[in-house]
Amino acid sequence: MSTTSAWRQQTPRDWEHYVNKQVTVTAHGQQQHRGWLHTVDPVTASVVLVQLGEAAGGCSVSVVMGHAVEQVEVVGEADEETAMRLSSLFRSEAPELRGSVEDVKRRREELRGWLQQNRVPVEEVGEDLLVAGVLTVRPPYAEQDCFSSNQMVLARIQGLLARMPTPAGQSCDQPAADGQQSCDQPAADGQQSCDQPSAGF
Amino acid sequence: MKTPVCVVRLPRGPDPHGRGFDPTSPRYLALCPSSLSTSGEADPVALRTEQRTRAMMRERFLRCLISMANKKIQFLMYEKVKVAAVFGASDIDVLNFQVSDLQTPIGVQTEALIRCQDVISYSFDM
Repeated sequence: MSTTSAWRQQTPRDWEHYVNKQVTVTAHGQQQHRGWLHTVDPVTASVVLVQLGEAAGGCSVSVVMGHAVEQVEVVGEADEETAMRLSSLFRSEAPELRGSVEDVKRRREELRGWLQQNRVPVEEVGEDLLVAGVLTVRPPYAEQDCFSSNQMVLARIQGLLARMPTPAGQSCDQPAADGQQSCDQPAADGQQSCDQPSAGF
Repeated sequence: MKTPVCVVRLPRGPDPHGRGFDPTSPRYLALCPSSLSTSGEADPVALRTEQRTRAMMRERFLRCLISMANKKIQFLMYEKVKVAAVFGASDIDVLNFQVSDLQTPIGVQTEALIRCQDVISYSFDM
């Protein structure tokens, strides 16, 4: 990879080999950037590099634009812990969603019950929940774990998830993912008004 | 008889039913590589794997962009230009960045558009 366009000519499968590896990227003007390669953008071939700080602390991110990349050299491999840190880097998980296996199972049952209460067909497929035949919810069953090719269904189900009451009787702290201000379905505990994103009540 | 007036038609806007990303638009063809990198596999299984990889990597990149919002970014551009700004948004082709409070040697621009073609690299802290 000695010319700029050679890097951009590669396919996603080639780029995938660099993911989670420590690399040195030579950019235009002999600039060198070193870090853990988090991802390569398939559209622009830009390289996202992460320099990790101490364990739970922050880190710094540099991105080298695809058109400026001249060479990418692998200098190290990530161990399991680093790889896990890298893959969860930009995902903001609410603390209550990280839990033990039992917590995740319990959450799945709650979600299934909530969906059935709202007359949404749901069935279990292994670890996942198949909703209305078009949307899959994977563990840990948060809003960002919904996968569907149908945007309308995705938006509605994410909104429904945001309004799911937790066992303590309070609604989820996050506002509805689709930004809707009004509740068109009655909340499970019978409350009808839902005009603001709930802040817990 | 009056001479007919030629009618000038404005160019068509983006397809309202699409997602805004039109690989055949003149803008995309002029500014982006002529085709997305693909191995052109005929084997559907290999194509599916490649698509999955592409989607996973693009998702990671988009999440990185989201996490940049409202953060102070250092841009390294050509001709040894270094500027700092607060990141606002990117367009879908990652051709332009909308930023605020762009610190330039001749002053601070409240709102600005940075061309990604001019940027070599950018960095920020999480």
